[in-house]
Amino acid sequence: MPHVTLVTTNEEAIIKLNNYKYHCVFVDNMLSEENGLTLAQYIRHSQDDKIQYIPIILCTAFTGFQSIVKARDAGVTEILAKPISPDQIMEKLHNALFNPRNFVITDHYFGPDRRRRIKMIAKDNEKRQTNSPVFEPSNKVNDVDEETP
Amino acid sequence: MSKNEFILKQKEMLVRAQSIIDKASVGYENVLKQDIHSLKQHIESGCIIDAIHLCHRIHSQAGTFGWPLITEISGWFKRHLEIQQKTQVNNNINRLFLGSLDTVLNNKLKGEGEASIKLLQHIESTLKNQSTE
Repeated sequence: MPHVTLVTTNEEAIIKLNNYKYHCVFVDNMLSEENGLTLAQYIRHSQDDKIQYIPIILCTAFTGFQSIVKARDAGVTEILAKPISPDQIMEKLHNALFNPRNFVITDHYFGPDRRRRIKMIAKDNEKRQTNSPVFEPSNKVNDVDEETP
Repeated sequence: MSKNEFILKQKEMLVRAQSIIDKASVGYENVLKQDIHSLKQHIESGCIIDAIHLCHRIHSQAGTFGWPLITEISGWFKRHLEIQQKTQVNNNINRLFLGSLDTVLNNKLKGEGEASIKLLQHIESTLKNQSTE
């Protein structure tokens, strides 16, 4: 049975993180949007591998563009917008654990890849393929006469 | 609707979680009444910061416990209170939102139906009139 630990402050969370191994951290932004991000930054700046790479799911009602950018830059893995539902929690947990984004390490950022992968389709050359047969109108005239024996 | 295909065990967990939330939702109406009452008191006493915090909490919780319209309205209200915090208190807007929250609560409006749409349109048109005055 997986173990769930509930804490109410960043300090308690840090103590638990340093003493136990967790597969995922849910951070609830209650009143201040900075509060949860402080913990996210602590996790991403940790020198301990077992802490540094933990997926972070931020539960927040601060869903304005600037808030999302801040959370992304703090190294949050997934953002769960309040009000939440069990289905959404499962969805984010599933993505974080079984469909993780690659980690990016630069001088200024350490955390999951912040870019969403979008497949670009070239305008000129259609590269999509279909398994269905393509039917064209049969109004062409054969320009090659068949030879009759 | 979820994009991921969940296994049977996960689906069972979701059903169990939803049933726990449904049970908690029964008592949430009283919590909501108390929160809206406290919100009025914060507004009347000019404690805008406390009102913003409470609005934020109502916005975060109400939708989960079956009151999506409360979440919508308190989200608007919070944004207007944040503006008032930087500028000045607008009693007309505050009365509009507090009255709307009461209407949703007293009529148990869940976010669908004509009454809900009319209420949202009323809020929108009143806010537009306010901004043009």
